[in-house]
Amino acid sequence: MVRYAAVRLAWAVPTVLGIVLLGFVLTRVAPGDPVQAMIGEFPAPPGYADQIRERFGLDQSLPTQFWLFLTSLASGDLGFSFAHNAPVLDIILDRMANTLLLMVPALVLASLLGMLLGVLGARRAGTRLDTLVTVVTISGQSVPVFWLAMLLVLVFAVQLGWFPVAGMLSITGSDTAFGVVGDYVWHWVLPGITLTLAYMTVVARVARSSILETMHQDYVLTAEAKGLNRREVMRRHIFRNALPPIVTVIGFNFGLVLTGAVLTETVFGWPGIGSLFVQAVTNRDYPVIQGVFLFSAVVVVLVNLLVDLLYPVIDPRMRGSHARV
Amino acid sequence: MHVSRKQRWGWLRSSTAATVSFVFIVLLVLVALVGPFVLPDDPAAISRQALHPPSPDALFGTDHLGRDQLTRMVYGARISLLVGVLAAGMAIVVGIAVGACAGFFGGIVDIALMRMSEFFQVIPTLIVAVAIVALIGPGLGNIIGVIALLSWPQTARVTRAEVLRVKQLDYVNAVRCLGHREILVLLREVIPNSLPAVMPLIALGVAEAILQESSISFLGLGSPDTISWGLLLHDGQQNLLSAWWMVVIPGLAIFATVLSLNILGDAVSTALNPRLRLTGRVRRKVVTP
Amino acid sequence: MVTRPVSGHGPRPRSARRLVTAAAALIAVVLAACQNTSGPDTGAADAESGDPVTGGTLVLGIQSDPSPLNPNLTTNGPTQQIGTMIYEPLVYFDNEAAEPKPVLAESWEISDDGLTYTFHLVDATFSNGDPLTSTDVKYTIEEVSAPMFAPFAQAASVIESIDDSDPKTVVITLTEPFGPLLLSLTRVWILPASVFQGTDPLTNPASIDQPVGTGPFVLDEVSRGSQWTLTRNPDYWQEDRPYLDSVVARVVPDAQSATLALAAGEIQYISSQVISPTDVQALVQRNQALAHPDSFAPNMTQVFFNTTRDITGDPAVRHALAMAIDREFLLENVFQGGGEVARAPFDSRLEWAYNDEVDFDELYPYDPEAAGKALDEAGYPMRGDSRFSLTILAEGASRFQEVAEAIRSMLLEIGVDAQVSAPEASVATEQAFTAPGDFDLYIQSYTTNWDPALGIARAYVSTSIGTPFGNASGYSNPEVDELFAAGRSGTTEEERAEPYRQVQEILAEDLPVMPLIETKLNDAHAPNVNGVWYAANWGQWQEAWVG
Repeated sequence: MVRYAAVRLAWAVPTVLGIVLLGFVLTRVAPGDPVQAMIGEFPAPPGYADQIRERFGLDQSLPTQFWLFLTSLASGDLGFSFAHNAPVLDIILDRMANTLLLMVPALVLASLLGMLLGVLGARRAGTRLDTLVTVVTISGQSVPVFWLAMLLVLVFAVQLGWFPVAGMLSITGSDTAFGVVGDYVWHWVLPGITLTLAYMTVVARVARSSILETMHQDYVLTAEAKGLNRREVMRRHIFRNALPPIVTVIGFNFGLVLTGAVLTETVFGWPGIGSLFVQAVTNRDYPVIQGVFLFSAVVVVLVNLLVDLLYPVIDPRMRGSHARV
Repeated sequence: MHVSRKQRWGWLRSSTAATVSFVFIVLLVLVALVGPFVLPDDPAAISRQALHPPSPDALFGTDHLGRDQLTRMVYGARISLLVGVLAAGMAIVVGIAVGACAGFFGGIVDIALMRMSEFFQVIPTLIVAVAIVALIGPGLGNIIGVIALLSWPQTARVTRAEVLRVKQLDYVNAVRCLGHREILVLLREVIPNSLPAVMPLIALGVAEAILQESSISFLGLGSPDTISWGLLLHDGQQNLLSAWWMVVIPGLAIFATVLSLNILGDAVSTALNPRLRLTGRVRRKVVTP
Repeated sequence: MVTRPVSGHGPRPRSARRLVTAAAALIAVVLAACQNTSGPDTGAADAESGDPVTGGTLVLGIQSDPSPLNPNLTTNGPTQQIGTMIYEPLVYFDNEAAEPKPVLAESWEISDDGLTYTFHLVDATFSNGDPLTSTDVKYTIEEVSAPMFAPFAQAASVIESIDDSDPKTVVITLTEPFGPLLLSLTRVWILPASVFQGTDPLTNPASIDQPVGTGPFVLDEVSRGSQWTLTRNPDYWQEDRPYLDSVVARVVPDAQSATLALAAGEIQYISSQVISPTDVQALVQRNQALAHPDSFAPNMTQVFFNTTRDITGDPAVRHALAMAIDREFLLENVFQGGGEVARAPFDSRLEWAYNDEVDFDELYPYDPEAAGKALDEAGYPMRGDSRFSLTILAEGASRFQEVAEAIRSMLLEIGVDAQVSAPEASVATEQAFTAPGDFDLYIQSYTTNWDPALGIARAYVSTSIGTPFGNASGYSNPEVDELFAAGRSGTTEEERAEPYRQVQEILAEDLPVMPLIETKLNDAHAPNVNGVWYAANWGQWQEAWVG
């Protein structure tokens, strides 16, 4: 098991390095001068821009810059943000907490509801209920998430005024911990529901087809023939065996936790990684762009690894073989 | 190889939803092709009638610069469909090439190509797409290229699996034994016989590309001269609280189009693989919200 | 009645400016609910009548952390806003009076030849107890402002020496007369040399979160990303000032949330860099806020014609295009009435230098038909669908992009096939200012910085060709260069006004740049906030009090 994990981790290194390199190359070959973006609307004195370039090491050759980036990375230094005037690591960790606060409840809720829908659809395959599940899932996958988000804002924030238009916490805040949590939940509802709906349909679809497929396997038919009750068969034989693809897709969703909310965060002004990234892109804030690339890649790889390690646990057939689904 | 006429169109009549979707897409393509020649206005023409709600004069209302939204929607259909078709087309061609090579030649080629496709599958697509478009520039070609670059691996995987199956088939082995060159066997026998598996990915790919484009344009990264539905939604967001029609209408169009394409894609795959009718399983890329 | 909490902590993508605009509509819907709960904050109408009240806290909204805190290092809004409460310059520029106002220099003399400026310092102490001396002034100008602060660059280039032999007197000697020197010094906030000497000003803690200034407030507590609390400087050199006990700067990145919070009385001040003109109007109408009339240095949105290109290099074409642009439309639909239509190359708010005999409305009235005829005569008749094609460059996802889109449509009407190119801001800047500019028309706004030499000349003089935010048009006219130089080196306003009036006539005729809109931006504050006045772009709070 340990050796297996080590091998998977070793495989992950080139992936992460590749993404870091991609981020680096992208930010360097792009037209547009980050130094000008920092100076702003003013004719700078001669030499001023060069001075800033030197300060941030932008006057070095590209390979040197990359090497410097990697070495400081090794010591836990992700660089310094031009626009925020703060270390990138601090900014990202700060925003990451906010993104997790938005995404994790949505993902958990979506996974549970999605599996429930999948089971319902599969058990009643061919019935109206199944059709409904199918309609919901295919619609959910066709709807632009940011549009759904805007519709929710229009109806529930603007027209009805039940929920806030944007943000994560009220400006005045609250004195009690209970109040703060309530405030957060109240802000979470609209973006949270948007994301829950989006992810739920993905899980439901995979769950439904995986369960359906398992239901037609010989051993299930055998179990049913043996006269075991349906609920028992569903729980012990079907669901258990249908789980790997479902875990895969849930893992996939979690892997993209930092980036999945780019659009939703933008619509709702949620101060997470997604909106940080969109800002950084418009400000040419290279260190932040690179930092977000790195973090999102690391999270993807770690979650994938976790999923890989989960397979043998959930699926007895895979113990020892460690094949990937 | 030979598919009867009935088989070829059977999928379409298999469900009402598929029929409706097909008709919708055909109409949409017609509107996109013909509309600009029929409509009187220039999509960029401003007027003093800014932010007027839908009315008999302007069926879809006007935007903040007084531009007619109906006209912009029709021009938008052109760009959105064009991006969808071209990006998905490129991705599928590349995907087939990569997948076929990997599956057919195997060994180190297979490992290298599949590692590469795995890389593209784990990277956070939207982040990379946004970064590339924002940093390289908002041209239509760039957007199409980026979407294609990030969506080929799925086709590659499906193709590879299919090629692995087809190349074991007796008649392929027979052709090989006749001493034909490997590359010809791949091009003439293996790839054509693997194509049916890829068919459903066409509609799904176009749907996915349309969604991707709308996300990129929605973030304000598209070119203002390239009117797409995503760009209209971008303008809509900025007027969210004063002009609901600028949000509702373009979004509805994207939704309806993508939904139709997804239904068509499912119908095709079900028809090609009757076993799936039971399971409803379609290999599809997970849409990143 | 449920309080309608207003949400905060959202990032504000630059493209969201119009979303903010739309918040006015939202306010109508949502804020009816707020009025009852926000109590006296929203209702106080007779604020002007009372005497100043000592005590109280003012809560203001800022977009992001003021990092660094030292205002000499960046023009970044929050830094300027908060940093200038802690650090003070020798002189302020009072927007209302449109003239310099003494601060750390209680008085000054200027020699007749305009080469020597002598400042007499007040008895002030830094918050670490050190007295303010001329050495601090010399250090700040020479070691910080000159090398590091872009807005001071021009002044730095004419300073020959600074004499600090008398601790209470600063003597600045120039190499040539420089009209806007006082104005330039309003943007030098004096740092304690004892704290900064021998350190890197960018990383010195006094620049970040342990400031040592002479100003009315001192930094008390920092919670990054959330709020910065300042309290009264107990040893402030101006007696009985400030009135306020403390100032809390809350970080509210989302402009829409900030607007709603102001309306709800949760915060009491927002800068015009955050709140949109429409929202200010909406709040004022509902008595939920007051708009401060003098809260921003005059700023003009203008179109640059690329004079190095064949078509736009022809003055007749520029005149025709000018007549095709409906500036009223832009003012109403893009700027939502926030400003005035520009009528001359200079901003009318620089009254002493403005030439009111030059009038774009007479020279280039909006008249598409006449514009078309003018192009016919200039040798550009319709050929097929159009006369020629042009590219209009503007920063993507900005108001300038909308100006560009509107102008594009206006040009289509006279048969000019125009395209809009709206790349990301720094790309647009590079394309516009790397000579010869890669555009036909370019839309950008320039702040005047209250002086033609600091804000307007840069768009026209040949020496700033190729400089970012300089002369994008590539326009070069020796006569114009001379007139601007004469205007810069005059020692009195009268002396300087004459060349400036002349240059406007030439520029209006040559038209390398056409100002479109004199943008008007008003800060908004709660009705119970009194006594705030403006120096350049930022409110001054030593006389502010809450009623």
